[in-house]
Amino acid sequence: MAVVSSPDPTPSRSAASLARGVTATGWYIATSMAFFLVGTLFVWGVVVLFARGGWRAPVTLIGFPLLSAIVVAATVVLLVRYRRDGDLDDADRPSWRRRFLSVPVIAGVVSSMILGAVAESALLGASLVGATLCVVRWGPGIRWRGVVLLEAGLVVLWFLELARPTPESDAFLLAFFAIMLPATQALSLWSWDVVLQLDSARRTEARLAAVQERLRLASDLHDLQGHHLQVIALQLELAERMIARDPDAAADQIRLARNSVDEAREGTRALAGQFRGVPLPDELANAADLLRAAGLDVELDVEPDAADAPADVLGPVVRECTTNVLKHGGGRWARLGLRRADDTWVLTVANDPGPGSAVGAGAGLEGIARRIGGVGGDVTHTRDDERFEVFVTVPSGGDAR
Amino acid sequence: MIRVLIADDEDMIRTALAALLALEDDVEIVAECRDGESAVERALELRPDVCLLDLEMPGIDGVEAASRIRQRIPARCVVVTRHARPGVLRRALSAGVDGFIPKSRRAEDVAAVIRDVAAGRRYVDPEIAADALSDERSPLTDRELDVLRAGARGETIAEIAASLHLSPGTVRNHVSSVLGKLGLATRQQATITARERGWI
Repeated sequence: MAVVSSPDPTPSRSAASLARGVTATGWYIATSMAFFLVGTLFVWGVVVLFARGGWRAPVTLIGFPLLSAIVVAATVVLLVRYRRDGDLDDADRPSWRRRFLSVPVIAGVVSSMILGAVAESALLGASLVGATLCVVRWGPGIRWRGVVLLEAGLVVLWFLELARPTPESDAFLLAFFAIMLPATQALSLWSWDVVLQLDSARRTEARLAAVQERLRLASDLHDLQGHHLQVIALQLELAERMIARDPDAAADQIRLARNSVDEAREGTRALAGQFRGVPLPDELANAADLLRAAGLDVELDVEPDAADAPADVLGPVVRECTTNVLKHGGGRWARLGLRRADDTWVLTVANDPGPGSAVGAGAGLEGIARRIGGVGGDVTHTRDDERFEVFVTVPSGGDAR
Repeated sequence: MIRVLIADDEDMIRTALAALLALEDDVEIVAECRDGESAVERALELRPDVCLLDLEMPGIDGVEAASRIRQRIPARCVVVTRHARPGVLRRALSAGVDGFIPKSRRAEDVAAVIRDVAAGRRYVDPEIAADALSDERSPLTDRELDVLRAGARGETIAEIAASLHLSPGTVRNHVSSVLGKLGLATRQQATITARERGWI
């Protein structure tokens, strides 16, 4: 028979930390882009407002910081959109028209132009317009071509501005920032795209692993079913041969064949069951959902750290109690609780007793009590006309797990 | 006598089950149907005590048939299934189904369930309940599920936005967050996943 290894839990943990890493890289890139933009505007602001005495004109004094703030805000909004649209497939992204004729793009571009005029520098205006447009999502290969053209244009503008009689001392620094800005933004976005692509490759890999796991399961299942079918076929053949001569022996063979069918079913369930198993709080929440669907008024009271409770011991109890409530309960209300008291976990399941459920309600409890007794726990129940309640206590020590 | 209607599109299973149940002293098979619509029709006509409905049938499924029958007549309904997909038991219970059993149960057990249900009790098979309880919980919020549901038939972002009275940007935010949570690449994959797990 095929040996079945249980699925390895480590990939999901490293996947979670990788996902966090991708998110952190995204934040780092976005922050550095915003920071470079703010830095450029700050350097220009200091020179324009103070070194060149712009603070004396109210238009410059108010206009420069205000317009700078608009440009930065527009860039931040566009960065958020850029990240979000990076997740979506093409059909779900905004149309081209929507992408460019949107409030942040228009506000950013117009403010950049006016800012250039206020600072009396076409170089700054063009650089900011370019940096804003950079953050819009372009088609493949368009952005870097545009940036190369833009950079060439910015260098030309710089030479034109050099020809003008302005204070020479600060001109190079300003030009350096203005020319570098669009290029850095474009490079940052490019690296961000690369990270996202790597991340999507990682997700694909994770899905592939899941598919391989399923294929393995399918092959195990094939072996298991094949074996049982062969046994059943032989048992039935034997029964067919014997039925005329020895009907009793034939009936025995048929009974054996039926047992083989049950074995095959149980084996199949066990095989599929390895991929199941959810944390106890989820199991309780599912139970509450089911009971609500059955029309009961359900109250769920679960300790926040209930995931630490021994799920392999309490899980079957939750299942048994939930089916009991469905089968034998009065159908009005139920209350599920899982609380930690000192060093024990207490599971309580209470409901209104159904008509004539005196025998049924306790039916599955012996099985539960045996299981719980095995790990040093305890099962009690109380019952009156209004309320049937089961208390299950298990030690929270490590041995229960 | 408990009058029983059986609906199952697999002829071999239906006839074998009907023959085995007819051997029970207190069960009478009043009708055998091959799909959900005819089961509803025959049930309204014959008013059986218990309807034994296969979950997977062409046209309307067993749960839907049960809910239509229950709306009109007080027949008790038992749904039989080969493989209970997540969420089905929840749907069946809210449709007012009284019994839910896997197909692998022996006919004598099915007869016992029919008796139980006819006597006014509810029967949920432990295996199916265990499966339902070990369902993976949806990591998505109600709003995100709304977005997937509204876009389940290939609607565009703009159409989803219009039907939910949200802005397209908000819808995109939800979609992006859904894809991030599920680790998937497209909205279509997310919709398929959510449907397979019974979240929508």
